[in-house]
Amino acid sequence: MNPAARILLILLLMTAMLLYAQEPQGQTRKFPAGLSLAYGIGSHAHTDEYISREKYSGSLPTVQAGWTNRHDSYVYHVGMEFGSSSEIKNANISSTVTQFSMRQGFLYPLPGFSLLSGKANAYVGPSTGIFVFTNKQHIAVSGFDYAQSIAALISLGLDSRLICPLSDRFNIESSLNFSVLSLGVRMVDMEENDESPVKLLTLFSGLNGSWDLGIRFFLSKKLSIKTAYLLGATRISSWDPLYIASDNLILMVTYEL
Amino acid sequence: MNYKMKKWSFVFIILLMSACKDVLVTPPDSDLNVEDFEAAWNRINSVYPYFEFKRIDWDSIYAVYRLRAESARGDDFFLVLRDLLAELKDGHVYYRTKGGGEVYPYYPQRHWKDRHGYNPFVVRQYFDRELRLTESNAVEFGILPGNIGYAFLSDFHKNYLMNEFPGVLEYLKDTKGLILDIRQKRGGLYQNVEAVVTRFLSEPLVRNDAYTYGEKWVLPPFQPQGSFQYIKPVVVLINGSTFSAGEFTTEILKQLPQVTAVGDTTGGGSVGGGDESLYFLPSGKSINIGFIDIRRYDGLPWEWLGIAPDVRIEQTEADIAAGRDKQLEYAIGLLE
Repeated sequence: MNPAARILLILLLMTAMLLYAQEPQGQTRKFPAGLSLAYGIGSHAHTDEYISREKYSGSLPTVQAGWTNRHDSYVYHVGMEFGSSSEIKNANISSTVTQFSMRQGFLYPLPGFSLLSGKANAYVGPSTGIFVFTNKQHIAVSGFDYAQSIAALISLGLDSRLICPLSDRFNIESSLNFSVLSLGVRMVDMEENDESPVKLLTLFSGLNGSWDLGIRFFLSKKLSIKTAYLLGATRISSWDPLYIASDNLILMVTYEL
Repeated sequence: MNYKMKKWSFVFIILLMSACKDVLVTPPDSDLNVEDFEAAWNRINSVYPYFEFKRIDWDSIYAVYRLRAESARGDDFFLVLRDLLAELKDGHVYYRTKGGGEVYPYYPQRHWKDRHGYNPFVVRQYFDRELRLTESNAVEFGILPGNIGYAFLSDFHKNYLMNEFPGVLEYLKDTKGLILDIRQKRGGLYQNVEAVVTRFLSEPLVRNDAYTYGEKWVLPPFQPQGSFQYIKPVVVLINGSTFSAGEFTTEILKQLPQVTAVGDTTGGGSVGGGDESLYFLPSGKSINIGFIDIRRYDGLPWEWLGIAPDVRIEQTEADIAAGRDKQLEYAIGLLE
């Protein structure tokens, strides 16, 4: 069996196990649901070896929007994130970086457990996502020429959440998600080589993921705000390597409709 | 753990994590800017054929750019490399970022003048049926009213014309004259040039001179090739965007009695070398520096000078915007 098929099978088995691991209905009631809008103050870094081995970094603000819906035995979520900056720099060379991602998934509750002297709830489930990255170096060139690169991943992945209530009004929340199997697209120089711009990537050759840790404060029963640290990371190594990482401070408002 | 401790632990974790990106994305161990500069300067110094023709003092350039390379940090070197290559004022010269992306520091002025002087949609208005395309899309061809053949050669790369031009000419065999449109053409392979021009020869034709590192090529004349020779009147359409392989084709065809070049003087790029022109610098960047000096039949390179048309028909962006292709109209008039 080829490695990609093997990983897909493992993912399907894991998803099936999660379904069996569900607790009785109603375990999703503590999950903050509704419409969320967020703004991120991000510090971005990348090395995009299609263009250069050098590290480019700078501020990359992001906006996010998402929708989470609780069901008796699972939580459905969908969200998107967009960020763009033309001030991502290496020395005196800057580039315009634009990132877009969209992800949806299902989260199933695991048995509750104790954490920080309280009861925590964890959720795990499969997700699908799209990630697009474009990078255009600012060097004055004539006419049609370019120093730019594009990468995209269409992924099947895993998603998890941890919710740990500190009090009636405060939660500590964390999430981890990452792609497991992706269809990767990368800009290649078609005139100079025969490398395919589309490849099937595994966790090891095309990873896109994020981890966050934050605190949520409930202003009312329906309205909450959250501030969190978010680490985003992407690693695509099947072509000229692309490494992206960002540290973000996220400010989020969630309203349960 | 009390509430206060939990809160401060949380803040501590957040602070700890705030520099994760720098752990995950790291700069290269060292930059190779000076090494890249030395390699580029030396490569150009040893192979570029037109220092004398262009009156470039390459040694004096070394001192200026070595200092810039030394003080460049990280990718600042791209600017140094771009400016260094721009000193050659050569439309074939480019650098590639590590994985691709050709960046040309110089385009011929005549290209800028004529880059909007051709529009395929305007050309289509002169036809009463849809043009055909070859499989690779390298050639668009058809028959104009009055039984005049037309072929737009868009791409001289790979083996497109070697494979596809015979079929195009077969289709246009019974026309009373042929327009070969090579406006908006950049570079390509010598073999594709030969695949086109040898179909119009009725007898062997001496090759134009070419030199590698000052040594003259010794090659037999071009021989007529293919199942038939097209010896009826031919108009070659050219303009300032016709470049390199397109100019090579024009220069050879101009030697034939049945061929008239119409349009405007070509861009002017006669340094050859093909894939061997690409030279890798220590950091992985590469530069394209040709090393073959190809000449017109009058003995001069067409670098900078271009290939002049037999009949100059100026065409502007305004003509095209008005839906007129005066160069094509003139060609049709010649062949009617």
